[in-house]
Amino acid sequence: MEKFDAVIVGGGIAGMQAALDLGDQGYKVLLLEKQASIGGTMIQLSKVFPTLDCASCITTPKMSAVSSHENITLWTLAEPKKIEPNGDRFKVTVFQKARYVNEKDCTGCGECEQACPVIIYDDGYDESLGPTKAVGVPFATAMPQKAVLHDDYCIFCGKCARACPTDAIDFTQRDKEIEVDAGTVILATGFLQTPTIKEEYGGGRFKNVITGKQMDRILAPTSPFGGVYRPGDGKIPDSIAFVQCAGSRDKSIGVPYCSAVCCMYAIKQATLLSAALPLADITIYYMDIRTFGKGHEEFYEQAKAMGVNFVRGKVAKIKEKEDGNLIVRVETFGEDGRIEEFEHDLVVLSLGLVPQWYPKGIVNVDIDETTKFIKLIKPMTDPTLTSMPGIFVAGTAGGPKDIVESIISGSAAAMKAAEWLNGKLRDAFFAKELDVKQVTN
Amino acid sequence: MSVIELKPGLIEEIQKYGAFDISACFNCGNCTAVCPLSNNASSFPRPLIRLAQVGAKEELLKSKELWLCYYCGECSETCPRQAEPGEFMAAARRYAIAHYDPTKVSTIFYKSKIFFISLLIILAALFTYVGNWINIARPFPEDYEIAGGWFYETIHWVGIGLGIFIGLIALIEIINIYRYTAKHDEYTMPEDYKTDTSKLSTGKKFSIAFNTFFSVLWNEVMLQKRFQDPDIKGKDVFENRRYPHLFIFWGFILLFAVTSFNFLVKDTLLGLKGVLWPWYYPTHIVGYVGGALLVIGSTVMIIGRLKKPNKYFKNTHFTDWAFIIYMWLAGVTGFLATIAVFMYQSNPSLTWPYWLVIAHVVVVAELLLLAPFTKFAHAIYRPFALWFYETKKRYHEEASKE
Repeated sequence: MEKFDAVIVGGGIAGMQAALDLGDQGYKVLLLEKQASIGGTMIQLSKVFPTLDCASCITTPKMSAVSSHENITLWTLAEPKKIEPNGDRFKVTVFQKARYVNEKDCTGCGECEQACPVIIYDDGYDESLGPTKAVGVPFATAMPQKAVLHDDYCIFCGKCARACPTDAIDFTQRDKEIEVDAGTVILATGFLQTPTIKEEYGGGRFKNVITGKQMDRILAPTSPFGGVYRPGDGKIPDSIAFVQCAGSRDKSIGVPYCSAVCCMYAIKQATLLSAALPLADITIYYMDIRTFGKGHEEFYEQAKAMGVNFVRGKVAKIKEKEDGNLIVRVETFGEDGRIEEFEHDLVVLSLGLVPQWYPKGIVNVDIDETTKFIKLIKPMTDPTLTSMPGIFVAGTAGGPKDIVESIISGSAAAMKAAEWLNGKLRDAFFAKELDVKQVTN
Repeated sequence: MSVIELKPGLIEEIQKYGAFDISACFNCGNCTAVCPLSNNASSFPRPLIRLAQVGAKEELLKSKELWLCYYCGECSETCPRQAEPGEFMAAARRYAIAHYDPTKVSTIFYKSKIFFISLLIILAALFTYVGNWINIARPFPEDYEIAGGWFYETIHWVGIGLGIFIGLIALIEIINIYRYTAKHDEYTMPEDYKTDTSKLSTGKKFSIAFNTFFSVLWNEVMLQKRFQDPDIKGKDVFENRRYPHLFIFWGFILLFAVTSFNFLVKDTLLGLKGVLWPWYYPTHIVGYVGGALLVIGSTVMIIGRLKKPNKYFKNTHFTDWAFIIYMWLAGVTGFLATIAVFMYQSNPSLTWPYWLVIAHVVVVAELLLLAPFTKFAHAIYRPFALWFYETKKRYHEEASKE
């Protein structure tokens, strides 16, 4: 059984930050990533708010730092199947999915992708907007820069294997389980967008109703479209609507909490759109604009000054017209309330954040009853502690956060993990000085 | 702006008329925009919830919008706070019924299930006693007749007494809803939709009111076209809201017409008191059709409310239950009583027909007596509110044209 000081679950921005902080202190870290590449959600994004810095320019250095760090072992396509306490350490059973590509031999040249006849639109890097192949490097800045073969889509024609200059394609690989021994575990499993299940918004069937993440992909320098076009028919949208609280603060879809980032990312996207399409009308339908971070309110005021139209009212219904345009029905609040219908070319649902990963059956940490994120037992004073001593939480796994907060919480979790590893926290716990359960009460 | 009197605790007060948590509402307006019947001339439910939240009792009671809602449940289903706006509208209508009612008896009805049910039982016992009193006190057993004589007279005069009482209350209620809502401009109507209606001449106003009376009578009362909206209509037979309602309505109207005809024409004009016409006479046939419509409509409605196939039937207040069950009982006991009377005619030695007739009389008497105070009162308020609303809307439309 391989031994590590810390196992970090999730290679997004928080997990990478925690891995780097622990690795720099000399601890041996194992970073598990479910996808074929680390980078998480942030690598998909266009810009970050409120500074409009390039998201991938912040993420890629961290990604390469992680993958080349001497103390960090990176396992992609791997997720924990079981995390059990083992004395004062943990036994982590890792499920390693087969890559069907020999990582040592693969040079990331992309010949296999050229050869592959299977074109797929999956909700991976391009959020189903752009095509990928059944085999290939996940995206241009993927780390590790190795090809991966999706056995769900592969027709096993063998064209990639013949095209590969280094014979790296290996159909004999099988999924496997590996047990490792860890001193501590950090859960940085991140979030998913709220699924587009709301029937009033088309339930995901309207082609020109897109999600916030899809809008970010369209606006990114690595955009699958190479510009702002609507997915339904490729028209350049003249009028774009953002529907706030489309996937949060809504008990009818089971997400009663505020997702904390949607207001800001919608304002960011509106700002970027004003630059990309200077003549387009951009409307944001909102219940309240919640801009609570440093510089956020100024960012909001700036967007208003740029001509983004903010309309107070919760969008009740979206109807699709035959030409693909959308009718948004809303009760607006000016001097008096009135029911209005507006037509837009493209509607962006500012969806909220829901947990990506549920610990049930894998590790015995509590989850928050209302939000279903991992429960923080001391959310105000020690926001990385879970109900299980020695297991820490980083990033959005513990609740909705923006990028800055995620990075801070990654570092904080690394700090707590280091405290645990060097014995102080752990000894205190085992000497019953620090009773976690007592602390919660 | 006029001064509005506020009544703190209005929400808690309305809450007693139905179970819901409207305090959770954060006024996002989802309910108003999702509502298939709401429009800019009258928007609901959110503005009315707001009125209740700030405690504007009089403004709420003046709202015609209360009666424009047909409770399809669309708002309750999509409410982000699960504050049940549809249920609020239903509770606010009960609140309004209780406050238009001059006797204020309904304020107790709606709030206390025990009081309501015990009142139903006491009234039933009372009517049974009155109906049966003659039977106990009659001096000569041979006077005992169902279709004539003492027993008939008792029912007859109790019926007339009830009719006068209910008629008076209904009249006061109509005056009340007129006083409250007719003159009142929609609180929810945006300013630019309002026009100066004083420009219209009295004759013009009268002709508009006259026209809308018949259009409302035809569209909303006789055909109930508002139920046709695809969002409200429902898919299968137990989800359908228009037809059971139409059946009950027409069943009741037909039976009422036959009863009135029998009383006014047959008994009074023709002087055929106590005469039982053969079963195939047109009055009987109309009665059978009416009874069948009533029983079918209320049966479908009861099954629908038990099965709860969708959002429309999620909540049923106990007074609503009482209303449909009484409708059903009235229909069923009516048929049984008819059979009983014919059986008695062929064999006067039978005693059981007598009890069936008593049961029917008790059910109908209770149904009618409680009509102005319970769910039944919507039969008065809704058409009038719709009429006032249509008239007012037409006033504004006509005035803006001039």
